[in-house]
Amino acid sequence: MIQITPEIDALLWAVAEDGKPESVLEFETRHPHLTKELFRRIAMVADLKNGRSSGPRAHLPQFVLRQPKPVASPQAVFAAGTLILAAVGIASYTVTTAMWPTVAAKPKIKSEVPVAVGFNIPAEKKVTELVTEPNKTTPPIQEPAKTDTSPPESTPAYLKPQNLKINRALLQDAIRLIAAQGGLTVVIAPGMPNPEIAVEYQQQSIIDMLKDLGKQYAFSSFDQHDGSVLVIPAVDENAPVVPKAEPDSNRNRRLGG
Amino acid sequence: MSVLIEKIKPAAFDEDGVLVDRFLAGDTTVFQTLYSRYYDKVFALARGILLDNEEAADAVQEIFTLVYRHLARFDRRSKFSTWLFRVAVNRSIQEARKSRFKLKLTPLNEIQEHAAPEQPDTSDPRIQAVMAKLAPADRALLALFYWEELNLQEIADSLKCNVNAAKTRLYRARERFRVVYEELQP
Repeated sequence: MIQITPEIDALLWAVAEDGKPESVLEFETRHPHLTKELFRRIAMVADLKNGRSSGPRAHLPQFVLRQPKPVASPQAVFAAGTLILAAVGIASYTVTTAMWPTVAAKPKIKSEVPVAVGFNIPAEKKVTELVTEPNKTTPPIQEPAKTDTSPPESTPAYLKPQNLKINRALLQDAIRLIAAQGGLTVVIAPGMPNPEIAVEYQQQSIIDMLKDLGKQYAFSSFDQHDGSVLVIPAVDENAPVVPKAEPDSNRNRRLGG
Repeated sequence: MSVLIEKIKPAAFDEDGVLVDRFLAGDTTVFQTLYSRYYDKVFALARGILLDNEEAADAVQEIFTLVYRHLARFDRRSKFSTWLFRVAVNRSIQEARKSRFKLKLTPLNEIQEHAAPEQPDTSDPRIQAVMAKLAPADRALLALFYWEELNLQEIADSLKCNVNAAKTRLYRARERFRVVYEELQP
């Protein structure tokens, strides 16, 4: 394959179209290696020029003035396009609305605090005041959806943003309440502190609420992906190690001595 | 004296311009003269783009109808023939795009049945085969340059572009023709 520069290519075409013997001869003298290519192009140009249909015309067809073909005006095309787009939009809206769930989530507010296995909550320290604010944009669970802005059914309740306000409650009770709000059960590890707290969350998921509480009150919550959350208190590695008391240590204690 | 007369005579007497003036003045009979004068050229151009005698004959009638109705729009910045070729090229390319799929799907025997009998196709079948593989715009350029033998300025006027653009387009069309031509060579 011979590489031909654009200048030589243009010259080849010029000579091929000119077709004068002296031009061809001069080109052959200057570029002998392109002689074959030159003759190929001369043949092509000759074929192309002779390729025109030049049949004898039997007679000149009579000119008949035709009626102009009706052409749609740009306004009509625009109007039709707008109508089609609107129809597609309405159809799309109708179909997708029909696919959304008719039953939406409702926050479960239990009057009694769920108790983890092996834990007892003193009666006098139960939740005293709890205010829940269902998300305005998220319809309640198990009630017909009143707005069209409810998310698809596939999103778990504990991942949906919710509003929550607890004015005064024990930490463990608050954790259980928050988890119950998202349909989760809680397993609290031993050694979990249980101070009285007050929190308020706006538009946060249950998991985020638990994480935030964990930061504040030093515990970690682990989503078990089976509808339960494991809550483990944080361990301070720098805390001094307290030796375990011997069972008979009182034996060496001397009273008043 | 005769030499002097030759010198003061306009280099190119615009006979078409006179006919156009008469037509616009109301003498519609002169249109037949323009029609018969340019029928063959316009037919050849339409045939080169459409690659079909019957469609080309139909397109020529459409083209001259357009010219008849819109001759007042001819602004005389170019020759009448250039303006006519512009109308012819545009209309033929439009028709070629419309009938591109129809041509592909039409059986061969059907084409032969519908071919105009009084206009035998004497064109080179190899060149027709190559042209059929090109875009209508490329066919128009090659037909204007090699068949109608217009120069680059006239082609530029016919395509409503500048000379450099016409030159570039023609170069590319010729390159595409060469590639297909060499592919189809035995």
